[in-house]
Order: sequence, then C-alpha cells, then structure tokens
Amino acid sequence: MALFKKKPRPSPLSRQQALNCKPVKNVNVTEVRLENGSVMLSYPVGTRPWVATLIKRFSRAPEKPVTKKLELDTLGSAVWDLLDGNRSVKQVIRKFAKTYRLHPKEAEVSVTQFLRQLGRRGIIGFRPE
Amino acid sequence: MISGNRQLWKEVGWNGLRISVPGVWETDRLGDCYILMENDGFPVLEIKWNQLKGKFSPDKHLKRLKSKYHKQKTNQEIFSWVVPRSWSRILKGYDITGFKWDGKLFSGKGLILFCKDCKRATLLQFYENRYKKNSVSTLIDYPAVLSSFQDHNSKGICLWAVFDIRAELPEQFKLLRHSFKPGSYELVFEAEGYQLAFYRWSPASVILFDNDLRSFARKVFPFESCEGVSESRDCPDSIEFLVLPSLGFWKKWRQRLRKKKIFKWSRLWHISDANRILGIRAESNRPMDIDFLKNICSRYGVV
Repeated sequence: MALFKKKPRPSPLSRQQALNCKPVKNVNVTEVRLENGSVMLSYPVGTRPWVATLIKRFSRAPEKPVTKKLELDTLGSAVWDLLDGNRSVKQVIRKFAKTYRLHPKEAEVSVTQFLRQLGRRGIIGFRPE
Repeated sequence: MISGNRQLWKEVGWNGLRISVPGVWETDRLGDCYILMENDGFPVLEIKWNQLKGKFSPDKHLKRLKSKYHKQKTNQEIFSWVVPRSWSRILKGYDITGFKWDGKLFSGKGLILFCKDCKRATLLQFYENRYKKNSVSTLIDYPAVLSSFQDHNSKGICLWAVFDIRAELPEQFKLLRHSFKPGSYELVFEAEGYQLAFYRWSPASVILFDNDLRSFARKVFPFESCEGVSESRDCPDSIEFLVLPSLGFWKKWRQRLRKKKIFKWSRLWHISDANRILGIRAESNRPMDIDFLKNICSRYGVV
C-alpha cells in the first residue's frame, strides 16, 4: 500500500556537489570578537517538543530560548570569517589553504570537518548551488 | 595528454615504491603497501605491492582478482588484455600481465608486474571515469607514469614522499606506524633497535603565534624529566635536544635489558617560506651517530 510505503531517501550529494554548496550563517547566531582575535559564537539550541512542553508547564520563569556558546580557535575563526554566504565550500578551502600555505588536501579535510561540525550544531546551513 | 609540462609532475615514494605522477593527482589512501591516488575526488591510480616468497603466477593473481570483484558484486567484469608493445618496452625488467575491467562508474586498465630482482609483485590499476570522458584522469600519459615506476632501489636508499613531505632513509629502516592528521604528520621507522620519527606541523604561523620554537619543542618532546638533557641551537630557526645520561656499567646494562631507550635526540626546525615546522626524533638503547642523524635531517624537507 502506498500509504505505508517507506519514503525514498534523498540520494546523498556527490563530493563535487557538496563542495559547490554555499555555507550560510544562521541569522540567530551572534558572534563576539574576543581580545585575542578569535570568535565566540552564541547559538540557540533547539529542544525536543516534549521537553519544551514540560519546561513550559513546570517552569515559572518566562520562556527563554536556550543558547550555547562556542569559542573558535584561530583557524576556526579564520574559516568563520570566510563564510560570507557567497563563497562555496570549495572557494573557502582554496582561500584558507592560500592564507596559511597549507597542502590542499589538508585544508580540505580540516575545513570540511569544521563546517560539518558547525552544520550539526545548526550554526550554519548549506545552500546548494 | 598531460605529459607536456613535466615540471608539474611530482614524485611519490612509499615503502620502496617510487613513481612520478601529474601534480594534480593527490594521495587519497595509504597503507603499508598500498597507495590510492585521486584526481578531483575520483580514483585514478591504485597500487598494491607485496614481497613474494614462492613462485610467481600471474594467472593465479588474475583469477584471485576476478573472484574478489565477483564476491564484492560490483558488476565489474575483468578480462585479460594484451599490453601494448610500447609499455612492455618501458617495463622491460618485469614480467607483465595486463587486464582490463568494466564497471558501472569506472573502467580501466591494470598491470600485474613482477620484478625478478627484488621478487616483488605489484598491481597497478589505472581508473577511467565513465562520466568524465575528457577529464584529466582519462587523458593519462601512461608511458610517462610507467617509465618512472621503480619498486626497488639499488643504492639502498628508500624515498618517502607523500603529500608535501619528502625524506630519504636507508632501506633498513622499516615503517612502524604513520598518521596524517590535518596539521600534524607522523612517520615512525625502526631498524636494529634504533627508532626514527619524522614530524611535520602546520601552519607554523599559528603554532608559533604565542609560542616560540623552544617551548613548542618542549611541548611535543617532553624531555624535561630525562636525565642529562642538553639543548643547542645552531640557528634561530632550529633547536636540538640530546638526552644521554652518564650511566655506570651496571646501570647501562640494566637499562638495556629493560629495553629502555637511553639515547634520545631530536631536532626541530621552522621553514618560514613554507609555513611548516619539521622535526625528527631518534631513540635508541645505544648512542647514535649525530652526523648520521644530521644527514637524515638534511634529506628531509617540504616539497
């Protein structure tokens, strides 16, 4: 029966498609530049609906979105500064590798790992080309 | 074909194997006797090699390869292929068996080579991407790649050249472990109780931003707790540590029986042009020749 049919999974992006995606910063993320030049990010954390309902029912305090903080190191801050919404992942990697004279493969691994982590936390999203 | 500008080619050396490939090819995976090279995310060349003890039978190897692909259910069909004369001429010191395969995404040509001198069998597989007919990978200059292929060196020196590092070591040193993490590479070798480790850190400008080379060296090679540590600097961009405690006869023997490395030497140097820090650490239960170690350092660099 079509009703109970499993939804087909979207086909995963190819490497090329993934590299052409444009990382976009979450508008709800606030960034603060620290004295040492690194960036501190505050980002909202989504709670599960049933947890949110419980908090709403039993908490007396007015509802406040939960936020977490994340301090980026020098290299993380440099990648963060390169995210302007127009550059693709590939362009960010190239620029990052050029700035620090890194091996392209090394830059690709570190930048993609970092962007994936930011994506998992909801700090950035990826806009397909 | 991409043979025009040989300056854009690079040499790859790993565990006795040496080959020149186009500069756009990158090492994707490395094993003890395995290299996979990729171009733009797609495999282009796969090399596996092994030291054989018994008789070499190419048909047996081909059969094994066929059954392997059959088991993997990759829909790849392997069939024997007559190697062009020009290729055989280039690889004249080897027993050569050719094969081709056809798959959904990739097709390609493969060679099984056997060197009678070093008794090493090598499997070379050139991949061709079916959907990128005009890509670099499909325009491989096979003769140029094959002519640079070497599976042993008569001079007793082994080249280790992957990613952006290049080192030359005597053959006796066998690879113990390796790791290539973003920012830090490590290659550890061993021979007759001597241990040599090669390091590469980057980007140096970030590592040395609030650190000097000395404090960084002390962080990565914690020798403070060792007895008899001495430090020397022949130039501001390098630092050397030597640990050689003056032990009595019995104490020396006790350390040797406990297999404790009493001799420790390390050198770190900063290559500002390349924004890298290189390092070599040597450990042994007997003192090592410092000139030999300095010679190793001079043959270790960034490409």
